[in-house]
Amino acid sequence: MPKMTIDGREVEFGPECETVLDVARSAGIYIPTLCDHDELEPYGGCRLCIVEIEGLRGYVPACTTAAKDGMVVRTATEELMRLKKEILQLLLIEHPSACLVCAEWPACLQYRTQAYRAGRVTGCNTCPRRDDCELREVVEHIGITGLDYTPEYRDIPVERSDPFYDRDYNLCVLCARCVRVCQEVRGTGAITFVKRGHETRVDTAFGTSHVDCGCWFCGACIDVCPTGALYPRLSKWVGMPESEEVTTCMLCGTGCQFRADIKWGKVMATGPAPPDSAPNGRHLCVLGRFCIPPLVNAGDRLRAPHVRRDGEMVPVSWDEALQAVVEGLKGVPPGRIAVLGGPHLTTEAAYLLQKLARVALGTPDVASRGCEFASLVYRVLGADGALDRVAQLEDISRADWIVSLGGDFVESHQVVAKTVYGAVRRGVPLVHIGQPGKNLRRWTVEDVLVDEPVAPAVVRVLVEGSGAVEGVPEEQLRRVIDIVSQGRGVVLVGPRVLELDSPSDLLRDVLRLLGDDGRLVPLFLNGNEAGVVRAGAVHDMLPGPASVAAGAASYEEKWGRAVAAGADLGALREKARAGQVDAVIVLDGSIPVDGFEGVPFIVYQSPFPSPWLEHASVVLASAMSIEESGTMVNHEFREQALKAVVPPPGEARPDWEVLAELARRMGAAGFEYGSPGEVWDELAGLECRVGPTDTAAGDAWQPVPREETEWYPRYRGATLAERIEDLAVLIEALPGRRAPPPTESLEDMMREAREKWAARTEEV
Amino acid sequence: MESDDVIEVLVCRGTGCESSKSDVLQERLVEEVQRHGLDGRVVVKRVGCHGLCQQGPVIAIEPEGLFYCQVKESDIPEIVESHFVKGQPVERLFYEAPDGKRIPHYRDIPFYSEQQRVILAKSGHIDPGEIDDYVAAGGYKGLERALKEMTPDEVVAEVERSGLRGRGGAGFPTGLKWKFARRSPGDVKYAICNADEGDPGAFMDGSILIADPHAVLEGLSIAAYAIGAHEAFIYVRHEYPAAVASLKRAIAQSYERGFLGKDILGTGFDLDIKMMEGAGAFVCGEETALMASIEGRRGMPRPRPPFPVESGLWGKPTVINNVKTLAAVSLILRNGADWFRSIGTEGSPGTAIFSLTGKVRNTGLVEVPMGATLRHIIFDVGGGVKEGRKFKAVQTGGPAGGCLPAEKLDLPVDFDSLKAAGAIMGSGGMIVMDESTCMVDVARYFLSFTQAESCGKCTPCRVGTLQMLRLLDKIRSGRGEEGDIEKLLALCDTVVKGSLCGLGQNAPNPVLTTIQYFRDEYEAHIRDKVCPAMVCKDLIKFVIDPDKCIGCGACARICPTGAARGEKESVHTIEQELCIKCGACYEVCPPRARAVMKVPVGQTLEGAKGGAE
Repeated sequence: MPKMTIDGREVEFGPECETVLDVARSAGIYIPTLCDHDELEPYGGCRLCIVEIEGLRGYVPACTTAAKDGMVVRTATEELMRLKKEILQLLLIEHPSACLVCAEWPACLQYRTQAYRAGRVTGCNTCPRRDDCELREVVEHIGITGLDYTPEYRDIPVERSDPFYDRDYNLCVLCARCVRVCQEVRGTGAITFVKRGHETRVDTAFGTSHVDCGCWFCGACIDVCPTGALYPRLSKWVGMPESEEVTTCMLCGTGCQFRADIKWGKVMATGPAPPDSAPNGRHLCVLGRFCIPPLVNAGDRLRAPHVRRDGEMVPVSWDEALQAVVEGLKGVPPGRIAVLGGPHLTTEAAYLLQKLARVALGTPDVASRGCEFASLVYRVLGADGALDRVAQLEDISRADWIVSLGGDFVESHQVVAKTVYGAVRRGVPLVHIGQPGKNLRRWTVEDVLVDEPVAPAVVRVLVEGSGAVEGVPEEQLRRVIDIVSQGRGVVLVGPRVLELDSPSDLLRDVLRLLGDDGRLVPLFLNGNEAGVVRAGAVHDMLPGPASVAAGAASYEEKWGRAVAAGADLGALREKARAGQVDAVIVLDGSIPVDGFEGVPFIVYQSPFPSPWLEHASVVLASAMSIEESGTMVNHEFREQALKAVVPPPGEARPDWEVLAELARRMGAAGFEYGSPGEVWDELAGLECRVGPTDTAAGDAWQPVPREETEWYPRYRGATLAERIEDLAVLIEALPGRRAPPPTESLEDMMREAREKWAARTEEV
Repeated sequence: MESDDVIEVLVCRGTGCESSKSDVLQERLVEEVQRHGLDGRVVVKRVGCHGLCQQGPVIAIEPEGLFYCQVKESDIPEIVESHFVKGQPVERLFYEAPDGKRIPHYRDIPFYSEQQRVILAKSGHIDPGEIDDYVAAGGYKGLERALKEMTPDEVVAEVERSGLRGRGGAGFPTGLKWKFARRSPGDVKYAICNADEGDPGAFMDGSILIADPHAVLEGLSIAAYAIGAHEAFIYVRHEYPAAVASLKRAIAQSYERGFLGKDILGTGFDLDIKMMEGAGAFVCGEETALMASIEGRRGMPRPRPPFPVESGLWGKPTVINNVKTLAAVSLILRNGADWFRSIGTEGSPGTAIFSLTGKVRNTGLVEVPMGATLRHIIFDVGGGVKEGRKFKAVQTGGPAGGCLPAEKLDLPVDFDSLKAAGAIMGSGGMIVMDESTCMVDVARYFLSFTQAESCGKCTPCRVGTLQMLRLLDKIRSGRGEEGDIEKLLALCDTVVKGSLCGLGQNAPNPVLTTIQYFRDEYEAHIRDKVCPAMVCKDLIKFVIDPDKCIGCGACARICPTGAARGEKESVHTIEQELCIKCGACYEVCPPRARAVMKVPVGQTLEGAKGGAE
């Protein structure tokens, strides 16, 4: 094992230590740094990690100097510490530093428990990062007690006009972490350094707004900032959380782990989970990073059960409400009851929902919104015994080539996009079949520019290794065939394949293209699509999932009731319109009421109000995903734990609890669960049973309308963009962004930018 | 003059001459020559910089070697009529020596005779737009020799043996650099010519690119061959449109003639050269920033190691050489390493090229053997300080170089001796200053440049230089305190030791050397609140000596604020409250009067006069 001497200590180091800084850290020797970050490439900008190495001229940064056997390193000689002190002082000239060098600071910390609100940050006491500032750690280590130079406030206006977070570049120390994480890790490149000399600062190209410059508001820049320069607007003045919990985000199919910051019994902010969290590590997207607290803490959350009496909604106790449901359902023939779920239920709740329908109510008509994609994947891959071909995100990192189709995944799945970009950066070729957006276009080596309906033809050519597709240059097809014929591939299939007439054929072609080693990434748009299908809460699948043909017998035996395939959501709607439905239990307010208005008895169970409220007879207030525990199955088919990190508001109760109690009150057996874990135990052992003959469902495939396959995040009746103004700003900017650049010529682009700019200044 | 000789009229189209309308001169010459039916016997050629920019626009007449200075459009008919038709050169346009004598041949002008023009030999004598001119002058012989007679290793060895050191400033042995790059593993390698000459007052590289672009292309091709690169870049600053145009044309011609492209000279060697224009950042002259810029990123340096020879452009082994280095390479390959070693000193063989500017008589492009003294360059070649003033200091190496005083005039100029004296060779700027220059002001000027051009990446350079600038401003404005010099020195130390790249590491040089050699001037500013050179505005005032004022009213007419006033034909005065110290009155006061005087703020006119006596 190679060795080096650091400050007189002999330190052995392995291959994981690439730089002198790595070695020092592995030995527990602290070298102050500001620009270094373990996810980013060494930068060498802040100059605080300079060390002396025998045989090397001058002082070298530990972060960029490769570790070599036999090095003799000194990290804290008198001269070095003097230099570091000087350099740090220079940094503090630009950064409001009164508090940093104030002798009263410890007392301040004790008596002023949190930073106070101020339009401008003038010192630590008015800084949102007061309690966990990396700059201050460095100052404390190096030991600065006063400034020898006159401070120079840069007086840059605080930028507040973009969604989600504020930028106060007066606090910026130009460590470039934000710029680098945006470019190196997220592949967005929305921000860069502008200007020179002491005017250098971080900004967007041409000073456009972040929305216009292609920022996705993933928040990675905030998470790496060592100062308070970047801060989420919503949680800016909340201070340190009382506790932090890690749980799973349900707002898309990726199932990212995130950290919930809890204070005063509420989730105040969300942030990245520990680095080793699967699948997302420390990265989130705009939904997980910014949208959860406003959603959870929304003022219009349903807080108590209600019953309609004389046309008025009246808050009642749970006992009364559940009794009202039992009464309302009494006497309704099973064939005239519909049970509607959605992709944002926990797997356990979905399981209980279908069990309630099939066992307690005896109706086959249980359907869920937004689970078509997961259902399709289970059906096609399950029939081939190919469920293990669904990729883990690490497979993307290990791929030799990547193909994406079915829409621009950068828009809908930013964490997957980040993983793909990591591979692209290492030189893995990425081919997109379809119309790529701005970012994706920069990452791909080939863009097969076809409209969605033509994508299957392109894939077919790739599978067969020859052929032609109208509108695609032959030469390009040949190049792409070359790319996909070598090594292990990964194909990302986006939700827009659902718009095709026969997406199952496409999936089968993709499997052939991938061969045995390749992996498929189905990009589920909605939280727990896979879990809901696995729980059997869809009309033609039983838990497992098992097709009705393959599973009916065993479930009939287990449940003691006849099991049959039910009607899908569309068919149920028509049935209701025709007056053939007498009762509906609906758990997803995002399902349009259309057609169900006339149903005499509607039970609406959700955390959020929706148009269903107007028609409901009974309203059951339920908990949101971060208020109940359970399991979510993501698009890797990974089982992610959902944790109840905050209590539900008012009297709202978790879905599983409500559903189980309802079934019990209706006298059904087999609903005695003490916790969601017990539900999971019953569900976990079930196997996927989809036979080759069961894929006939593909023949009855109804293409999903385009709006349903677009990125427009929803959660059980809550449309995020309608509730979160900042998200609306971002989403409204999307269509323009999705359009390909108007021309290829730089001159034209510059001219357009100038015109746009001129128009803007005129407005002002 | 034999009547059957073809007369070549070489019109300098270097930047200096061109800005004095040498393009019009050329047009007029062609017209006049045609009018006199001299076509074929008199050939008017566009050439690059002759070097003696002070005398521009200049026209050389070959093969006689006659040299016309400061030619005006109205002189053209006379030149054609008298010289080309009648054979009588126009004597009044010959170079005028300080003693008033006219010198007809450029080889006799001290500016040229005291130089040793090797790299610049062809500048001003061949048409840069015609590859044939270059080939006729022996061009591409070096490349031919390298490709046809030598292995890449032999080329590297030859350059190593020549002792050539990088002319970009640091003086790293070129052969060694090539050897490292050649040894670095990898199939793809790059050669880059650094033509991002951004120093204020430096125009050597630009002039060479305009006057002799093929010499650089040839050198770059040799470098590429030596290290095994098949793609090369020239990174030229965007603010050199003439150089860009010249290079474009030269590259196109080289492709046409098979000096670039596939199978060069039938040897099977392939090379493509691409030109890349910078976007105006000084720091892109730093090699790692330059590569970042070529890659399409913001031009910001990164720490070395790894050096470009290991991991350069797009992570591939890369050699980056300066324009002058590559021009020298062409000559070394043509004439051999021994020839090159015979010029210059043991440690720094070859010649040094300077752009000589400032308060010197002959500003221009100068080439002398390494080891020539500053005195030789400034006084023998440059003709000494302008207007008979006293020499005070010379700044070498551009804004990050150092100011050397008169005591250092006998310093032999090479990489090591300049460094030892606190200055640097830099890329070859040389600015001469006379006694009317304030050294604090000079230090501030250069620092303001490097400060503004800092890329902002590393703290010491970004903030440290600004703090130094603030301190210099404080001293300059008379607010200096005891201890400020020490503070400056401490800051210099931090910036030198703590900065990431050469820009920051060298930026304090002007401050360090002016403090080292002219500390008394700093002290005068701080202690006595006096600017000895009478430059720093806050420390001087303008007054009119009533004994000398002739009442011409020139000062009152030009004064922008009405501070200078007085009745016609009577003594004028300057109202200090209104004076903004623009110095216009000082400039216009007729030499026969010289009544407007600069006086230290704290002194009266009488006091100042008394002090002077």
